[in-house]
Amino acid sequence: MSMMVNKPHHVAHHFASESQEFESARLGMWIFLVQELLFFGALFVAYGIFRWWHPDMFMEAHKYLSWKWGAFNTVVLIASSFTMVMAVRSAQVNQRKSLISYLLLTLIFAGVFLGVKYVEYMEKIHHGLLPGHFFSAQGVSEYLHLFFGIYFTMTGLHGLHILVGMGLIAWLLIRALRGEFHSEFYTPLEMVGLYWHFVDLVWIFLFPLLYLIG
Amino acid sequence: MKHDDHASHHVIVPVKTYAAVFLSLLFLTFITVWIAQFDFGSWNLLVALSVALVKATLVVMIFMGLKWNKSFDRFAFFACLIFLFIFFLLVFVDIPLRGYRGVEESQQINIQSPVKPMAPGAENAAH
Repeated sequence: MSMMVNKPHHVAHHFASESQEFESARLGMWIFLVQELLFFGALFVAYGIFRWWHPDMFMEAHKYLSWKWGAFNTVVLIASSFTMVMAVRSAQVNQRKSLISYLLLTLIFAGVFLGVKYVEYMEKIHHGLLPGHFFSAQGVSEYLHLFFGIYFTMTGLHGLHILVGMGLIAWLLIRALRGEFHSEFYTPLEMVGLYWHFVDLVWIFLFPLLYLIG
Repeated sequence: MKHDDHASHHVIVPVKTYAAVFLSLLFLTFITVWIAQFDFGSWNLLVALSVALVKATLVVMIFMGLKWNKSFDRFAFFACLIFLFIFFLLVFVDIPLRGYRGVEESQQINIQSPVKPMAPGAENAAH
């Protein structure tokens, strides 16, 4: 098949060179990620305010989360970030087979992360540990429902980013199979990679802040 | 010309570097979990965030390549960090100084907490 043939990349006509095209894409990606950082920043501020007001409630609430699942998912996401950089690197050195393997591994890790999240969410739903007035469990603190509002908003939005990332990685996989990525062109790989590491970055802060309050 | 052009921004990082960062991140995750069992009182949050900050630095500099990326991207990122810092600083200086002035919700607008009361200490038995 066409497995061995690299598809040449044509620079879009509004760019002067391949280099300018790459750098423009990368700048656009960074501006987007910087916006994401500010957006998640606001959620961390909300977390901080509620934790300041109700420290005992946060202490109580984190006992309902399993730090083992959280730690496991942290390892899974870090591994997926590693396979992602290795995927980009494989394209840089024209190793298409390893590029495809690494992309596939990244996709699997992302799936595992969401699988664990599903198990965790199901358990919370089962016990009625839900945001705001959906909350129906017992608690020592009468503010316990506030924690689960924060928990579901932050991990939910993060999970949504994982889902979007999985779609993007699947798209990269298809293009990689067509031979579109090689040492001369791997811009989409690099951009999705940046996005994927950002998602990892958010989880690095979410894990200790939600699971390991002590 | 094309090749000079090419080399200017495409840094190929050695596998060793990526592997070292990967292992460091795993090790720091272990540290995060391990350190959480010790009680440093009010320093708990600071300790947890410091380890997370080291991990974040590794991800941004190596995995996201900001160490080699000397373009405007770097400026955009650090400018964002400065604004994030101002945001955090103003809010977290303001909130503690202000104290909790929230009038109990139920008294003011008749909203009941959905949390069913439980005796202190009972939550450990329930879970």
